[in-house]
Amino acid sequence: MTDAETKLAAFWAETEAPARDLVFELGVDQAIARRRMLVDGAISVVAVAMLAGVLTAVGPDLLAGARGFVTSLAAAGPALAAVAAIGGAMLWLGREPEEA
Amino acid sequence: MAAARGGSPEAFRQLLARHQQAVRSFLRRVLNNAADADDIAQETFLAAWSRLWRYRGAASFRSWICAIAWNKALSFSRSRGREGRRVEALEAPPVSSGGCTDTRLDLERALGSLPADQRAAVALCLAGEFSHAEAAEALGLPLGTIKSHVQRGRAKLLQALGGPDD
Repeated sequence: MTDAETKLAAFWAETEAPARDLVFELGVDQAIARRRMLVDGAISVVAVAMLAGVLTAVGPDLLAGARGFVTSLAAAGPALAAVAAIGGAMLWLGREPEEA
Repeated sequence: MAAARGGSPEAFRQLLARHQQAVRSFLRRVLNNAADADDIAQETFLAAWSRLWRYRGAASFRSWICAIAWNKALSFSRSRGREGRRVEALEAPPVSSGGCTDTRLDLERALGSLPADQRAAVALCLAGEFSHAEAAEALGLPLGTIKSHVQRGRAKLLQALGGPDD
């Protein structure tokens, strides 16, 4: 190796970064954590906005549907009560006799 | 690698620990400024973290990440150029905390005078011990161009040191 080559090798050695640098690694770690927080926050905002949009669009229809269902239950109420009463009576009449 | 791509912070930390030296050394030699190099290196790893899903393993990981570093260094150079400051300004602080000898200044000047692609090829192949193929992947240049860049760059650096420029 010539003198110039030796000097060049020494220059490369001088400009080499350390094999481990915890400060640098921690800095990258923190930057990634900050980025991840931003991304998660943005995803949450988008998800909430989409949910709000969907509810705004289909909310009135859903409410109307639910109201109709409740009304139909109210109309069928007496019939359901009668079925329940008959069923109860049949069970009571068909019970096993108690042992003396 | 698969774990890091799957989002494991611990796996990415291991990649960072394994490759930070190569990336930072490359950037220090290309930018001739340790502080700027470390800033760009941090941006590089941040970009690698968010683009890791794109890495398919066709090239070595260090080539892939040095390609990101090289693009960021070029953008940095351009933005600095727009600000009217040259990246290769020799009045920039020394790369390491070691003393600035004449030899060192000569070499910094010689390295700074190389065209950007040539400097990057020299930094990767002569200093960083990358293969020519890896450097070609990292810099996005043909293999033949890398070989000639390395040969010419080495000759110029040796010439700056007063040695033979073979």
